Amino acid sequence: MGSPRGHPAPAPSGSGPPPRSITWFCARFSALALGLFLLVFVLDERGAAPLSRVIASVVAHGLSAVGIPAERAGTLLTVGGFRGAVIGQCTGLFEAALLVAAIWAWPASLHRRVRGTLMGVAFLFLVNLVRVTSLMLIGAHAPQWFRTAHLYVWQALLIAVVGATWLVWARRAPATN
Amino acid sequence: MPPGSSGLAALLRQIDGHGAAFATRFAATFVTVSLAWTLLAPVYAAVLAQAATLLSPVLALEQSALYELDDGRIVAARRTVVGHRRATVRQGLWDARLTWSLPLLVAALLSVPDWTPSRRACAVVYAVAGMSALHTSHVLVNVVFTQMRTPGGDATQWPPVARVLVPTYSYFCDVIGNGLTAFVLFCLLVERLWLPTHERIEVGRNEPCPCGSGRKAKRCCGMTA
Repeated sequence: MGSPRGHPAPAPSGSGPPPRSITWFCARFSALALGLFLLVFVLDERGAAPLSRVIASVVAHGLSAVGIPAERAGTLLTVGGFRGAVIGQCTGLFEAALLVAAIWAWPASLHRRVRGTLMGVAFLFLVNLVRVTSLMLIGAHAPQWFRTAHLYVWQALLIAVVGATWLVWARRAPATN
Repeated sequence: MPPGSSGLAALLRQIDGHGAAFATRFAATFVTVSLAWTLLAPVYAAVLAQAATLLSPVLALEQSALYELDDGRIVAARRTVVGHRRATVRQGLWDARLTWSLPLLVAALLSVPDWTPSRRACAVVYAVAGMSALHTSHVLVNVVFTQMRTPGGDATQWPPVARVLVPTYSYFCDVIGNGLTAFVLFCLLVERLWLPTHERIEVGRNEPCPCGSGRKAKRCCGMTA
C-alpha cells in the first residue's frame, strides 16, 4: 500500500518483519510451540523427575543457606511444615518451550537465535527457582494465598516474563530475510 | 500502513528506551484488571457455561450431566454407580477465577502506548473474543475428559484417538495453550490495529483506509480519528 494522496509515508521499520509476515510468524510460532509442547509432554510422561529433583534440591539448599529449615525427599519439599511436590509443570519447561518457539519463529540470524535461546532458557530457569522458592514460603507462612499465588499470580508472571524476554531479544535481534 | 512497516516492530521501537515505564504501566494495569476480574469472573463463567451448554448437543456430548456454577467455577455433577452404591460425583471443569490469561492479555493491550481509547476498546473486544473461544473449547474438552475419569465410568467406550487427544488437549490448555493464545493474539492485534496518533496519515474520507482493511477510511479508522 503506497502513501495516500502523495503524503510521505512513515519510514519503514529497520527491525522486524513486514506486516504480512507477522501472520507467518504467528503460524510458525504456534506450530513450533505445539511441537515443543508435545516433546516436553512426552518427556514429562516418561519422567522429567531428574529436573524436578534438581529444582527441589537447589530450592532446599538455598532456603537452608539463609537459615530457613527446608527438607527434600526426591521431588518433595518441606518448608516449615508445608509440603509441596515439584512436578513436571513446576520445572518451567513448558514456558521455556514458548520462549524458544517465539525466538526461532522470529526472523533473526542463527547466532542470535542460539544466543537468545541459551540466555533466555537460563534466565527462565532462574525465575522459576524464585517462583518455587516463593511459593514454598507462601505455603509455609500464608497458606490461604498459596492457591492464588500458584495458579494465578505466578502463572501470569511467568508468561509475562516470557513475553518480556522475547520483546527484549526481538528488539536487539536485527531481522534477516 | 505503508509497506515494510510493522506494528509489532514499531511497538518494539517505542518500548525500547521506555522499558521501565512500560513495565510499570503494565504491572499497575495487571493488578487493576485482576482485581476487576475477581468480580467479573463469575459472570464470564456463567456466559461460558451457557455457550458450552448450547454447543454440547451439537458436539454430541453428555446430555444427562448437570452443570453447576460455583462462584466462577464450572462444575459437572454426574450420577454414577460406585461399587454398588449410587452417588453424585462433582468434578471441576474450569475455574474462571484462576484464568489469568485474559486479564494478562487485556493488561498488555491496555499498556500499549499511544493508542486512542476506541482502538484500545476494539483490541480488548477482539482479545476477549479470542480467549473466550479457547476457554469454551477447554470447557467442552474437559466435559469429555472428566467423563472419562468419572469413578464407575468406562473409559474404553471412547475411541482410542479420543483417549489420547482429549487429555492431551486439556493438558495443553492447562500448561501452554493460554499463554500461547494470549501471545499470538497480542502480536496479531498490535500488528493489525497499530496506528498510533503521531503516525496517522492524512487520507480522504472516501479513500481506502491506510490500515489495510479494504474499507473506506470513513467507515474504518476514520470513524475513530
